[in-house]
Parts: sequence; C-alpha cells; structure tokens
Amino acid sequence: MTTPYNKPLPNVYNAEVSRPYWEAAKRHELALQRCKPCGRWVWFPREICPFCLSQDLEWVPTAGKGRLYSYTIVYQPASPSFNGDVPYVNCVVLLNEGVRINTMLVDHSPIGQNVPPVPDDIKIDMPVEVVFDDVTPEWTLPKFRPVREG
Amino acid sequence: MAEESLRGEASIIGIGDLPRQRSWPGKSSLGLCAEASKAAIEDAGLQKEHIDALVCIGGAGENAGSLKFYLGLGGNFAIGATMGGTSPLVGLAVASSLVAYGMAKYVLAVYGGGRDEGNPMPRLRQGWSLGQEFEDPYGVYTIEDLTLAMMYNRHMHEFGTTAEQMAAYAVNTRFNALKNPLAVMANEGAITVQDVLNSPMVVEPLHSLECAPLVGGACAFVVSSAENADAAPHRPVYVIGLGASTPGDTPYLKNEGIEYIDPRLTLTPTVWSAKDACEMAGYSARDMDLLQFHDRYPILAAASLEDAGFCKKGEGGAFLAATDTTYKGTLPINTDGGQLSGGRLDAIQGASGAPHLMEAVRQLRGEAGERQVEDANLCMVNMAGDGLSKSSTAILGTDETL
Repeated sequence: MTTPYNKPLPNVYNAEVSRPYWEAAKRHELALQRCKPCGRWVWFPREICPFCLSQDLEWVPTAGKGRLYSYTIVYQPASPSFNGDVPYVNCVVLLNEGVRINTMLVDHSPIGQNVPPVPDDIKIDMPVEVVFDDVTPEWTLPKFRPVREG
Repeated sequence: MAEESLRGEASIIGIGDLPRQRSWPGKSSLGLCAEASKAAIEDAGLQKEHIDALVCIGGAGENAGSLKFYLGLGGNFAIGATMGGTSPLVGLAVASSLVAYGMAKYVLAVYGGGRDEGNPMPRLRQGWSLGQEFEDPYGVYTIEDLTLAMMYNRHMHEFGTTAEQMAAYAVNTRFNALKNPLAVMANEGAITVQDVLNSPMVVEPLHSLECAPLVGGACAFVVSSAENADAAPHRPVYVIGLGASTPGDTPYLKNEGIEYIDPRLTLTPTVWSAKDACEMAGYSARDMDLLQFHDRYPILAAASLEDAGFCKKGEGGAFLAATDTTYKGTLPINTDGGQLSGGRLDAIQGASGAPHLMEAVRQLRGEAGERQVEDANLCMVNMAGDGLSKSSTAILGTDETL
C-alpha cells in the first residue's frame, strides 16, 4: 500500500478545452494546440487563437523537447503538501514549437538544503525533454529533465 | 504633450497613512480604510460632507458601496479601481479624471486592510486565473515570488546581475526606513550586504531579506481640481503625468510572436507605463529629483528602473549598486524604506503600491522630516502588480513643475 497522493491535482478550468491535453499526458504524449488557419502553436489551452482570433484550433502531439528558459529552486513551498520535496525546481521551458510552459525540472543532480551553488545540470538555456509522472491512476503530470549526452 | 491632457489638472490635497504593522488585532479592513479616510479628509482641511466621490482601490473596489455607507459619505460615485498592485495610480487616474471634467469636486480614494481576516500568506493562487490549472500541481510558490525569482535568474543569466548588487539596494532601503516611524522595520536596525546574502533562501535566488515583509495598514488620499487646490492647508501636489500597462496574466508564459507582447521575461511593462507618463508630463527620467518605485524585491526595482529610462536595459544591478539611493543620496529612491523595509501592504487582494504614493506627497510637500530630500519638486512613482503583468507610473510635482 503506497501513501495517497496529497498534492494539488489540476484544477481544470474548462474540461472541454483542456481534456485532450490531460488525455495525451496520460498516454505519455505532450500535445499542444495549433491554429489551423494561421498555423501558430498556442499555450495554454483556449477556445480562440490569440494571434488571429480563429476558433479553429487542433491538438497536435509534439516531441516534448525544448530549452530551460528560467527556473527557481523552491525552499519554502506555499502548499504544505510539498514540504517533503524541498528543495525542488519550478521552471519554464521554451518548447521547440516556440511556446513557454510552466513545469517542474526533475532528474537533476542533488541540490544543497540551504544555499547554492546550483548544480551544473540546472543551467538556463540547456536542452531539456519531457518525462511523464503518473501521480495517480487518473492524472499524469508532464515534467522535464536535462537531456544527457549519449 | 497632447493639447487635451490631464497634465496639471488635478491635485492631491490630503493624505491619510496608517503605520504598517504585521497585525492589526481588533481592526477590520473597513475600519482601517475608514481611519485612513478620516485622516486624509482632515489633512485636506475638509469635512466628510465635502467628499462627493469615493474610489475604492484594489480588491476593495467591490466594496465601494459598503465603505461609502460605513463612512456615511454623501455624493454620487462609489467605484472601484482594480489593477493588482498598481491600482493606487489607476485610482489616481480615475479621481483626476472626475475632478478635471467636473464630475466631482473632492474625490476620496482609499485602500487598506488588516491581515487578520483569514488571508494567510504564503498561499496558492485563489479563484480563476489563466495558468492555475497548470501551476498548482507543480508546487508553484505564490505566483509573484515565482515569476520574480525566474526573472531574477534570467536577468543574471542575460546581463550578469549579481546578488551583491541587489543586496546593496536592500541595505539602502533599510537605512531609509530607520527614519520612518510608519515603516515596519523602523526599529529593526541597519543591515549589511552580508546580512542579506546570509538570510535564508525563499525561492532561489531570492533571499528572505530580498522579499518585502507582509503587513496591514491603510492609505487614503483626496484629489481636487488644480483650481480648488489653492485653498488646501498643505502645499498641493500636482498630477503631471500618468501611464498604465497590462500586458496580461502569467507573463512567464508569454507566447513568442504576438507582436505587441514583448516575450522577454526581463522586460517589465514599465516600458510602456513610464513612456506614457513622461509623454504627458513633458519630462524624462533625468528630470526627477527622487523616485518611489515598487520594490517588493530589489530585482523588480532594478528592472523597472531600466525600463523607465534611468539606465540601459540590463544595467539596473550595476546602477543600483553604484547609486546612493538613500534620502541623503544622489538619486533618492524609496525614502520611506520602500516595501522592502517599510512593509508590503497586503490586505485582501492587494494594491500594495499605495505607500509609495503617500511618501511622494510627503516629500513634495517638504514634510518628510528627518528624511526630507532637498529641493524635491518632481517625483516618479512606479507600481507593479501580479508578477510583472501590470505596471502604472505617475509623475507628481510641485507648482514649480507645472
């Protein structure tokens, strides 16, 4: 018997719109919306294209690769459910499709409990790739890890 | 400047400013707002019967009717002005418009609250916001700390900004706060650069002494037309320029490629709000005698100063480290201790920039006591909100700057 997952799960704003994203994650795919008329990638899920205001958006799987745009190491979490995880890394990834998504960096070298130095595998602009964390039977969270040579 | 403009048409003739305290036991938010309102009305030499419009700033905007009733105010308008931490200057813009166009004679604007009514911080985002579905599951710290921490790391990466530079600014604001009895850190003593660097990490790279302490309090001001300002008991402070900008929520998720939204995380919307304020005023950064800038974190002040034109983009860290920003200095900034040592006014749904406006008025009146800046005639006030997604800028001046 494992301990129940007690951290916040996605508080879905409009299930009709974002269901394909979470369903893709469950299949271990990172999908994004793309506007059919103008061809631009869109994040986060919405009902209208922010570039051309078309309402004709489609879901397209991506390779889940990008670069670490920026990050922060959390030492004092807002939610007590994360207390056991500190220090952990929140980050923004600039996907190769040109959109930035908020996520968590995992599989990096250990971080000190008090102060940096920050490990060498947490560097702005370094290549990262998606991994999937099946946190509950219903929910899978896309996270990212450093791309390792070889 | 445009021929039809608000420049010089409105004046702040009264202020009411409560001490910034970590707790206000026994005081309600309405009660604190009422107390500051009373002080502002008296400071303007008026009776409450003179007030013919009320502007409730920040999240309190929804309660404008309640506060009007609570204070027993007459008049017609009771409206909200809400744009996150920048709301006080949006409230100033609304109040200025009402008096300039004859819709009201004396407008009372107020924001405040205690922190004792169930508003614990840190907290997760509440209610609807664009990114929430994709943030809370990742253990995101409060959105503003998270965004600013990421901006800070990106700023260091792109421009070589250092924690030592940011700490130097924090040391100066503490120096200023020691002369401001309203500041929460007024009696906490001086700090050193090493104190800042040794303080615990909150969200790396932000040390705890780079994060403003959260406090309760209230700020109120009375606005009249310029022609009605001469009868006021204190030297009038004129609204010379105003600007505001809201590029949108969750700026760290900005899409690349929307032409009118600059995707750089290190760029603040002060680029636009300060430009508009300067255009209305006919002044530029170099004309300012002193500044009141939103400094919930030093890195926010640094980036905003860059974007307002006080130094080149990316040089805010070096600029702050090389500038004496104390009230005795070459470019005084946040002479009251700012938010960093004065306290971040964090009532329910904050409009945290309000104290910056209070201090600007005190300085331009020449009533800032021991920390008075000599020949203070022109002051830029800058406020930021909701993790880099909003900015407002005002240029305030004495009659010599009209």
